[in-house]
Amino acid sequence: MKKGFALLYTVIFLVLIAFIIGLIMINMASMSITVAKLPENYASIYGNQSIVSLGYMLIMNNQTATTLTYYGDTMYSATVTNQNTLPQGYTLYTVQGQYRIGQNTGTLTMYYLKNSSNNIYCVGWQ
Amino acid sequence: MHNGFSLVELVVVVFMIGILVAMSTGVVYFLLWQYPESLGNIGYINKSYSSVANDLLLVQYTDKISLDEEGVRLYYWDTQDQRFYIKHLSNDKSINYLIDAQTRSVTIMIDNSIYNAHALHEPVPFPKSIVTTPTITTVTLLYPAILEDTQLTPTGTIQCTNSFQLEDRIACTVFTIPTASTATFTYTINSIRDVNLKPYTYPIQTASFPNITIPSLPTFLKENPL
Repeated sequence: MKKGFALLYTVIFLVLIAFIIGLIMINMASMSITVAKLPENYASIYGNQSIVSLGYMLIMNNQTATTLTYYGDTMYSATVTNQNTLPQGYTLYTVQGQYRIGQNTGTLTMYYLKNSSNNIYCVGWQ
Repeated sequence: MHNGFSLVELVVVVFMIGILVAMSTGVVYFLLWQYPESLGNIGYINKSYSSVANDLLLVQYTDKISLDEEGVRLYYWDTQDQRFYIKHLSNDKSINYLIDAQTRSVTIMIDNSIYNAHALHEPVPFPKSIVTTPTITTVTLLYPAILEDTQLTPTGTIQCTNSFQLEDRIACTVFTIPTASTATFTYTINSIRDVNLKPYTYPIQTASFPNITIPSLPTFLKENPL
């Protein structure tokens, strides 16, 4: 009787321990999913912004290609793939850009218009 | 002990009952008060974060940001269709939005984190193409313009020939100016404003101008025409 009594309590005790550990693990897993989700996407947002800025610098300095590397795992590059001189002082540049931020990579094609006053505007990207 | 239990067994039983009561209290507390903030919201939180990433991307493509009864309204000009398309940010209750319409940037605050994105291109009201006849020169714009205070110098009139209502203003996509006597004569267009009312001034000649082609908007932005 005493042994059965102790055994019942032991079983209940172990089941409860397992249940609580399970709940904690599920909760931790959900937190890790939540935390991991946005930075991965945000890398592409930040990469897009950096590449467009790099395109401005490229054209402003009359360069055709440039690459910036930070800390070994972050890289931005931009290359002028087409330069179309238009009438009335306009020039349309097509720039191919790439970024690598950790494991995240992306490629953009950007279009810049330079006017006769040498002002540069990004007028489209994809 | 005379009832059959030893003192050690009694202590163990009381100890285990105490642990069971404490655990049960903890589990009930977790399920009643902590559950809605954690397990019950896994899908909701992930959806919110997915919305943030999607919102940030939408901001990067936008030409104009404003507010309406549905929340944050974003405008996208398609240079090939020559029309605006609109979208709204997700308007998620768990996300706080801080909007700067002038710089076309949006700051998003969620779970004590702050994320920011701004529009990546400029909706400049420069010529997309120019077609000249002996008397009239027709200028099609790359992006629409507000011509309320625009002047042509040294002399001449700008006449909008294709316009649409953009909130409380009239936006122009095609205008005409008088053809000058020589193709090298240079007018100046003063205070031509983009859709965010940013002013531009630039020279223009009444000579033919090839069509500037930039890609159409991505399909996912072209669901709701203005």
